[in-house]
Amino acid sequence: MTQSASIGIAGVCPVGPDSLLGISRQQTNPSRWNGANWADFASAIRECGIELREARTSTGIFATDAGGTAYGLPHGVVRARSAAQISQLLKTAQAHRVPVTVRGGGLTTEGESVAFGGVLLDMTGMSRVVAIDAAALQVRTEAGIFWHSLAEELRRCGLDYLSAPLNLTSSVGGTLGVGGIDVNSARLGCSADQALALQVVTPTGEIVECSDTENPELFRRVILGYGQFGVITEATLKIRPYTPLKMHYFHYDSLRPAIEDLQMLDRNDASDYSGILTIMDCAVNLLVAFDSAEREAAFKAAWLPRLRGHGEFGFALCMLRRYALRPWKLAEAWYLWQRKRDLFPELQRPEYMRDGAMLDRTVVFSRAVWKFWGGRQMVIPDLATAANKFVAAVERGNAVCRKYFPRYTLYCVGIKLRPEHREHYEMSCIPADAEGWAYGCEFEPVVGSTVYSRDHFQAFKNAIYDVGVDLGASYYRFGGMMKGYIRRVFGNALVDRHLAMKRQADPAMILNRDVIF
Amino acid sequence: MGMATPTHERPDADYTACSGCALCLLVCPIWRQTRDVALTPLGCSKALQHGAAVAELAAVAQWCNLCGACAPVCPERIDLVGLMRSLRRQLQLESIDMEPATGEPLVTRSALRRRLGPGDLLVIETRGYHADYQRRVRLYDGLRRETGCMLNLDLQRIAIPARLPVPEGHAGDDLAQARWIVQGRAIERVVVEDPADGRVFERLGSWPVISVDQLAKETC
Repeated sequence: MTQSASIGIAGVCPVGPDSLLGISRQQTNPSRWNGANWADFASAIRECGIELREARTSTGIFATDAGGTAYGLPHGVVRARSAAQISQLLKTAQAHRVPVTVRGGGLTTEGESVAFGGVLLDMTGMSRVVAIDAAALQVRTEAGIFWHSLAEELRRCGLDYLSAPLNLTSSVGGTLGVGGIDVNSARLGCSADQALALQVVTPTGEIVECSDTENPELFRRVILGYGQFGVITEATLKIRPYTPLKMHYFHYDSLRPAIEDLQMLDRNDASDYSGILTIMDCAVNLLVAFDSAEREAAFKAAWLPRLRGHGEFGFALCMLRRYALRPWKLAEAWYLWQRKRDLFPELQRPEYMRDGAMLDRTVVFSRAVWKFWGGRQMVIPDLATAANKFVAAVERGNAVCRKYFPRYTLYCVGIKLRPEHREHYEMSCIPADAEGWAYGCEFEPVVGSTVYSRDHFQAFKNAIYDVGVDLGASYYRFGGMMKGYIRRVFGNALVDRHLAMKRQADPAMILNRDVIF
Repeated sequence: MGMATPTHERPDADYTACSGCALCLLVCPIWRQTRDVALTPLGCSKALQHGAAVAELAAVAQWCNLCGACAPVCPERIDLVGLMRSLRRQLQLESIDMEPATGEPLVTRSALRRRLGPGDLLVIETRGYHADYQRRVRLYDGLRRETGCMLNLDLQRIAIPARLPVPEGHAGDDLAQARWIVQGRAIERVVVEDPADGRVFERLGSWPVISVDQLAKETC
């Protein structure tokens, strides 16, 4: 596969110079915790009335994450029931120095939500909506809830969340800890920026309410904190009235003009939703969508004429011309046609449409994601950069993809930054040099039924991340198996400062150990 | 006459194919009620992948009412209903009416459609709906567009069963599902395909409840 994928690359290899050296393999998988004091800990937990499940049939449920390349079994599983229960769990874990791994939807890809021994805390046990304030447009919810379940509750009141990952089984707490990108993030920011207040159980078991005004230092550390500084048990989020959206697709035969058009739309607030999804790098789809007819009309009048993308017919002509001149690439043309034939109807299923508007974008996109990109192994390395570096990041990442896989998809989206949240963004997926917007691109091989070794996946991820190091970018997924890059990306001074804060907050270093530090 | 599920849409993989995406969990009424992954098709498949014996899966088999909601959403096309049936047989649990009704839904007859309106909550019989999902999801969507009636569908267009009996020895609320179906909705009348669902809604509220059969008789 690699051989065929690399055919066609000419000139200077754009892959980072040290990528093929990679990072040493033993850095990618944490060792299993040795189980010291487990029996005493288990006994103490049960004396507190906390149910601890140790049977292989219970622990095995959580043996891997969505990535399917990291495997580890916890010694026991605790289903989250309340902040008080989690407080007791963490106090006991600190006393016995037992690691606790917190898991929501388990949608990590680098093993961040896999427990390599110790306790796995299943947060989905806490997934009830506490209160909806329709007048203030706020919701208070338990943090183990899936965004989809939250949407179901809000929809009964004619409301919706602002932005959330396009995946049904992402949990609110997990998302607030890492970011959360939606196709409206270029306008509304990442999901973590929607949090107004949190209830957090600290690693030493204190239950603390925090926000920008109440315990702001804890709030800053927990938001985008990769679970290092506390377990989010409840969250107050901004919400909005529900609206279906009108979607438009524009097709490009190369990446650069599509990215430039995306950024032009974002800079000028020309649409409510925007993003790029590719089938291949010669079949690039810019999606643009609107919450209202007024916004759609304004776009059509002012911005549509400036876009360089084609409609369906124009793009078909473009492809005909391309492959007529390259008949040896007919297999690629066949793949493109098949993929488009299968994928696009899925995005327009009539039961999810009304009068040309899409009713439930997350359901539509998430089902398509699992159907067309999901599988037993998924690697999705990404690059997050300042706007001015993004074209280079995507083009160089694309070259890496071409080198390692014959088929892959890129997903690009902008993230509106909030200047007052700059401290939240420290040592996170938001690059330090981004102003106004950050841009993220996910590089996802279409694995299908092909079997790749973990080494091949790891080398691919390293090559992408090396591009990031070279460009001064950041990453959405820098924990777990990719944590070897943290010091290279953020520098020793920043990482050491955060490590010192972590040691102070979590003396036994039990909470989500090995994810970041 | 009913149409069986086309062969190419039938789930044909077994639990070994489960990749843990958890889409089945979202639609599972047991999960909705208990928030316990171990009692869902996901938990069952993962437990089997880790060597669980049938006896260790008694709880999930007891809870499952074979509503079939999990099957249409599984991207791996795992025969989750078949898995649960097999478990129930091996555990010699009390038989549930196993085979879903596959006939054309009565409510789609034009005379009956005319009797439905925006104040009606039409409670779809779940097993028949999920067993013939690809066709019926569009059929009922058309019904909703035409009549404006409400349906017991979630955002994935999966039917929420009105009844989820709580197994002996477990805590739970057997009206929780029906409460969720009606939450936040302005209902004037409940129309049920399965008369047993009607009894649940009669217990729950003060709306008139009528079965599709009764509606058909009145129409005649």
